[in-house]
Amino acid sequence: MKANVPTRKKIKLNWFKSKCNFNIERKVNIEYNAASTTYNKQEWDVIVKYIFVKEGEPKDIPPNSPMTIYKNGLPFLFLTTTATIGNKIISEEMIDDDISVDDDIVQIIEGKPEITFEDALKPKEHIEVRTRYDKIIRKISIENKLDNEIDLILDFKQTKDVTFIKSDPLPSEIETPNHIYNIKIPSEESFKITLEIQAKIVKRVTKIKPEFIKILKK
Amino acid sequence: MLIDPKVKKLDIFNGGGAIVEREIKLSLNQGINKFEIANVPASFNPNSADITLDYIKLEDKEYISLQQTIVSLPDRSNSNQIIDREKSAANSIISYAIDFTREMREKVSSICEASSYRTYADMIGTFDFIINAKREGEIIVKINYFVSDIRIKWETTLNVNIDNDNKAEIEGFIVVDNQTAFTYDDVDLGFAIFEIPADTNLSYPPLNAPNAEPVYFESEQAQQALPRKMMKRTQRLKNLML
Repeated sequence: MKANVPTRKKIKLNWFKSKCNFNIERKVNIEYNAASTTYNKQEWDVIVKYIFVKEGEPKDIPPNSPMTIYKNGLPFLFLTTTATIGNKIISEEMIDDDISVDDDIVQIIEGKPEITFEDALKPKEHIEVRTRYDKIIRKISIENKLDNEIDLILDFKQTKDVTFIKSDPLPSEIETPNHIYNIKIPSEESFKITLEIQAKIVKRVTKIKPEFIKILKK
Repeated sequence: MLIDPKVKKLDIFNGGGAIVEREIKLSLNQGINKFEIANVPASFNPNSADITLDYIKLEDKEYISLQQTIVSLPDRSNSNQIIDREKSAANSIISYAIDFTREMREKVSSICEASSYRTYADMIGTFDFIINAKREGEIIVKINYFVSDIRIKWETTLNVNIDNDNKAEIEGFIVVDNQTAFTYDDVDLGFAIFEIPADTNLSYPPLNAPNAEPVYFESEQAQQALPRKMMKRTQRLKNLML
């Protein structure tokens, strides 16, 4: 490509122009720990990225290149690229502010605590470990505020203290520890998932051993 | 002899910098021929300086050879003093000028702007070479060097027109930004990419990383403050008000 590059100037050159297919990937990742399962309300972010598959020969586009998406001739979204794989141009991941995900507590059913003991630092003391398994029901509402139908993947991931029991609707795919829901939400409508999970709650209390309490009383 | 070989090719890096390829046809006298290359920026890397000889006549290979190259950069502190004086002189021109007619204003502002943007990298470096010729002849000299200056770089911008059937038209542009004091006319441009991973400094270690400190949460607010990757939010055009 021949050009003049003058001092202290920017020059713009046409590089390529081609037709392409595109799809929008939206994903919400949900993951709790023992404490967060009992929160009254949580909000999750929907992550969105655009994938363009262009026709013709592949072009290497540097990461972080600015990209403007036009709809009906007007600039609609400003974003940057993250990578190109062959003919695929992948945009950066962004938080989709037009999809809201509210996660509310419905019910907590406390389990019976099992008591075990562990050695403490002082010989006259021991640690009482109270372990119980709580059943927690949460309702996740996803609202689509856009003027078009969207496809979204909700990925609930089990953690060491929080496991999946059941849900309504059932996950589309289970690949432990991930429970994946493929969701379609029409414009300005919402979708609800009821999630039943089990949380392992462990509490530790250091106490004086009973035999030493008697001696103290004497 | 001072020569100004034409810049034939310029390979620019998106992270800044360029490889300059210059070429000139030279007539040589018998004996030692010393040449001094003009317009070599002080931002050039002396270790990258390279000269190759292209023989017009094959038999010249035995008689003409490159003896040596001489490279050096100007002294940084002296150069910076000169630049500072130039800048203060430019400021004085603006401060004390009485009359700025339209033509004068443009001339003065271009001089002052040039001096205010000038840095050490815009000074002139030394790149000389000596050719030893056992007989008279002509030769093509190719000169290569790397310019280590982040003020010359390139980036792409993409425009995507989308319709409602998941079809789109993508248009790519290359924007070359040359903020150096050097002009490159009618050059073959090449573009190279340095892969710089995005947002690496903004990522956090995974929550359950091995040997990680246990994390305790006392309130719901604390959970909301869980370390998340910093991300931009979508700002879509909703409506056009007429």
